[in-house]
Amino acid sequence: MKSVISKMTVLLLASSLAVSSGCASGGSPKANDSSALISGVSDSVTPESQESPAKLNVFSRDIGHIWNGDNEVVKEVEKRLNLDLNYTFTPDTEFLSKVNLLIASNELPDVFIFKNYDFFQYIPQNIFLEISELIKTEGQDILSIYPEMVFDLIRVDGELFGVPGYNEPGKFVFQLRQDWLDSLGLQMPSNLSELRAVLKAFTDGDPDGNGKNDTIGLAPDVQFTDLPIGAPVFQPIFGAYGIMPGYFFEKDGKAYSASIAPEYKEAMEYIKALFMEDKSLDPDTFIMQTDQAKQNYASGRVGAVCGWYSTIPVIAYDQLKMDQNVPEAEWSIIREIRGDNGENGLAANGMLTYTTNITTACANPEAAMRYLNFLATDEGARIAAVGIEGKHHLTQDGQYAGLTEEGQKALDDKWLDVLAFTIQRFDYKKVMYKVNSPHWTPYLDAIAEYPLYYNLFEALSTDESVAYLSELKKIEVEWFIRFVTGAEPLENFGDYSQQWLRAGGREVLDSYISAYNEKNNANLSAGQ
Amino acid sequence: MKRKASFAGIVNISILVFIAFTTVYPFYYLLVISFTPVANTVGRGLVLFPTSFDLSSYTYVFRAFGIGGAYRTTLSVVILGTILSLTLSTIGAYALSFADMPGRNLLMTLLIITLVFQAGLIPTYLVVRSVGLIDKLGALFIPNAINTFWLIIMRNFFQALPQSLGESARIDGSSEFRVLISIVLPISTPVIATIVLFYAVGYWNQYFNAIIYINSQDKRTLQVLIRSLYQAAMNVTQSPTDDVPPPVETIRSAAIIVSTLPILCAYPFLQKYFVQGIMVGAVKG
Repeated sequence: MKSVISKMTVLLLASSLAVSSGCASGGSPKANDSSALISGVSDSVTPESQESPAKLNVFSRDIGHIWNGDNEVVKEVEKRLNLDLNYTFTPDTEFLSKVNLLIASNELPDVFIFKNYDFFQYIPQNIFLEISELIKTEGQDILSIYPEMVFDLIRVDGELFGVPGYNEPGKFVFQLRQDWLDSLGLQMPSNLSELRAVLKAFTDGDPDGNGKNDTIGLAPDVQFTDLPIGAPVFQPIFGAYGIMPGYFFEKDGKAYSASIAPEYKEAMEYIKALFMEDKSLDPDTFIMQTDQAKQNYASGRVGAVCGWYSTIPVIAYDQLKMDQNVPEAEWSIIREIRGDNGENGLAANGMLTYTTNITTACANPEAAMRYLNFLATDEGARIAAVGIEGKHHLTQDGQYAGLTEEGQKALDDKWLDVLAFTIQRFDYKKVMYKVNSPHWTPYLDAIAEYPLYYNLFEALSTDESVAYLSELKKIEVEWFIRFVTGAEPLENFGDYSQQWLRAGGREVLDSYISAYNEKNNANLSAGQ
Repeated sequence: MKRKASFAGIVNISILVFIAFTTVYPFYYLLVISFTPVANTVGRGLVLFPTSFDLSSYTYVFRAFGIGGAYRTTLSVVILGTILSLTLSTIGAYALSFADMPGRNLLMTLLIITLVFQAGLIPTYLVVRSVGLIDKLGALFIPNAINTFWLIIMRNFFQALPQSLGESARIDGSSEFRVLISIVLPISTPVIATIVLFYAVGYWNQYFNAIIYINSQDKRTLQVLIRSLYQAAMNVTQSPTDDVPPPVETIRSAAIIVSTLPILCAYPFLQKYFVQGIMVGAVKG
């Protein structure tokens, strides 16, 4: 027995040694250090490599696509550009962990696709190629499809480390039940007082005619988390008062936080009246889960909803079959709700939804940029989104006219448009949306027509904003709920402002101004 | 003889029934929702009975490209991983159950340290990479082949067995391996069944390691694939199509059923051992 045990001991110790030695060897850097690669870029395209396909490994978030080795669309793109493409998808929640691992183990892909502005945090690690010159020579189509200001958003000290994934900034639509409006003999509201009257009538006037007091004037489309994105329901009201909470704005050369602006207090007075006096705002607004919110408007209990453009056409109708449950329902888009000063608008959001970054490990950056540029062309965008003409989609008079049966199956199997999220062509996708889902059209048009409130400090990140913003949001949400529900009198707005400033708001505002002035060569000062 | 129900008994039974209900109802609710047509789920609160029957959520899940491969991958990991883990844990626990084993205390100390301190994500990843396991299924069960806690449970069980059983076999000339296989294991089915179940469920539910170590989509495990399906359902407006998937709520329900039912089926077969085994090794430290 002892011999068996001693053998086991040896085995265990040997294993632990193997593990230890594995640790040591795993930590050593690979030969392809970044400086060597950058300097080797121009030399890397030898006659042999020009003939053999350039390998491109792309590392992306998983948004539900399948990387299928037999994908005809990918093969077509590979053939046209002499590429050998490979995509690796990682779920959103684990994406940055995996990125950290790849960096630590020196296993960089050729291209990263980062969400929003996440790539900023990796710039100090020198893992991205500076592409200002490369994009001019190989990426002309990319430069032509996006406005210059989108590139400015991601420039750092004048250097460009990625291609922006531009998206239409308008995302929200305010809509109401037209059939309720008609049954009550009311007109489409266009200002705050008319809106209040309509919402009250929706709540008290039995607009569905069932004899029960079971309707809600205004309700959220998502769980209340923050302002303005986590509570789009209040955007039209804040917009009518000329501000968007959570955002910063400029006035007469001074920068302000909307979260402590006097207009914020006025808007809350209006919302409080809806909640406390008229009871036309859903009483569960601040505790409701998104699932329940969806159920409410899709089951025909809600008169007005402000939410993502997909809220009514996609969620209520395509998914929750509102046409079956409430066949009489008819929705209309509220084009504007003006305040006393004529102000009007909703929040701009997600102007840049991702970035595509070529890494320093990329052996052939020209080929990578040519690939990205191809996806920005009309032809490339169409192939990437709806596949090969005649096989996966049809055209009429040169325009996209719908998917074929094979194309629809490929889309259902999640591989048809696997490349379409590398370079965003929202204008092109919109055309396809309208052909495939005509009932989305009014909503897609509406998001392009609303006046929008932009965040003055969009894409800026400072040490102070990282340190304090989440806490400031908590403070804002907590006070907002207390004000609106009457737990705190609005006269105490000054206390809230002071707490907000003391809890890091002052530092955040100042640091943003400093970063903004430096980046834009401006001379803003703090207005609060 | 009829026993008279006491007040305390009724209270006990009521509480236990309530606890059982709160445990079973969420699963039952998921089952009902997963089979309910989308239009019928709207506006309903507490659901006790399905009003009609619909398979669209399951169609969505099972239509997914590569779901067969994901099931195969997951089953391979569960089977290979459980066999490897059980083998190593049994051998290790058996050896460590001998009080006179040289270096036993040192080994136990080293093992217990791993219960409290882990190497961290990046060092572990570097080790796995250095032994060539990245994008290999082995990465999902070799690095964590032995769970120290289960090994200690097994060791305690083996320690509690009468020493005389092994001694008589040794007197008859049996090797230590023979003693383990022919004497110890046949009387250790409770602990083995329990440990098998724990390892198998652990491997079945494995998600994070599959994300970190596996890159190829054709090697995705079931849990990762289902996460991807769920993600696709959340991004309904990403792809230009009118074929919008069912709502995430019903997909979530179907996905949970699809991913838990197979492993749930193992429970009835192991339960009688499981009930005996859950307390094994708990008495002696």
